[in-house]
Amino acid sequence: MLDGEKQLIEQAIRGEASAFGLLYDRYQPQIYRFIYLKVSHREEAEDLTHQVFLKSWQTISGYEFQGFPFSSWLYRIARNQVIDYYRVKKNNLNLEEISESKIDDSSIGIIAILDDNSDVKKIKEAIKQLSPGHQDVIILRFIEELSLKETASALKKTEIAVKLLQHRAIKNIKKILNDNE
Amino acid sequence: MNKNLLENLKELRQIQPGSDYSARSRFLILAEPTTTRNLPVFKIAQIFYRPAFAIGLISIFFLMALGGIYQIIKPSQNDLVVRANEINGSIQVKLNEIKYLIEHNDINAENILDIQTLLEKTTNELKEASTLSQKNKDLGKSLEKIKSAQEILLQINALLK
Repeated sequence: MLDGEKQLIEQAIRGEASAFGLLYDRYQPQIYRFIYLKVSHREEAEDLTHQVFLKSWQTISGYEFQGFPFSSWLYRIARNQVIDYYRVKKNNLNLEEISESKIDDSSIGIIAILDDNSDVKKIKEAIKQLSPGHQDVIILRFIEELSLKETASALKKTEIAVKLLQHRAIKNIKKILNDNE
Repeated sequence: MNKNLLENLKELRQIQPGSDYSARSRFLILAEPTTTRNLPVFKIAQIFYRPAFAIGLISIFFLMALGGIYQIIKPSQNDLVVRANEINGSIQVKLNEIKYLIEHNDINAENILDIQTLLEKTTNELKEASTLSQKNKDLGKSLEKIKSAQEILLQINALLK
């Protein structure tokens, strides 16, 4: 847990909006990144990120300290939000159609700059083709660089399960990258 | 390859939300009321305070008070009425169980909104079932709605346990 984080959370639990605002500032970029890489659409990612923080603000009174960073709790809410998003979408579009038609390559700013780097762009495309579980572990372990313990907490899995998942996810993403070449 | 892959993955950390969006979202979220930590009963009272939720529960308990939707169905539809009354009885038992669990369990914060949403869905299903049965439009569809409500209540029950 980061310095002063516990105090901020306690204040937020008591209903202090300014404390939650600081937690928002600290964690919103990484939650947005997590969601963006899973839905591949800037506006959808913005809406879902908003929902995640709204939900966490509305339910923070039930937050329990369990020795993990606050982000683990946010990631769990974010995962559920993305699962719900795809559940709703499922009836209209399959995932392939989403990745083909909803890729937000016209995104402005840093995403466009990243896309100029062809290797990074390929990896971004490869992440889209992974299963949701493999996406989770790749994003949390290798992009956000969370520890095994933190990742296990965010994904509600054991550390051993995360290690296994990570091994398979890396193998898979390499295969996808090779196949796409 | 491994090194390149890991380095390229780290590059993706540069993805950031737009600052305008972030400021707007932050403002809207913090303008929303939050719950504060309280005893479980009060926490539940706060959920009940939400208008949609309150309307949902009132509808459900109104239906319970009426003794079930299918009291008002014409007797010519005997089989459906019997089946519906069985499910209706099961729904009422489940509602009592849910009421007990809400009063006696400390509900996980993550589940509160889900429970609220599911209760609203239950209400909508029961309302539609009631409408279909009153107009005697399609009792089969009405029965399906009641079954659906029963399944949603089972989900709520599972979340509360």
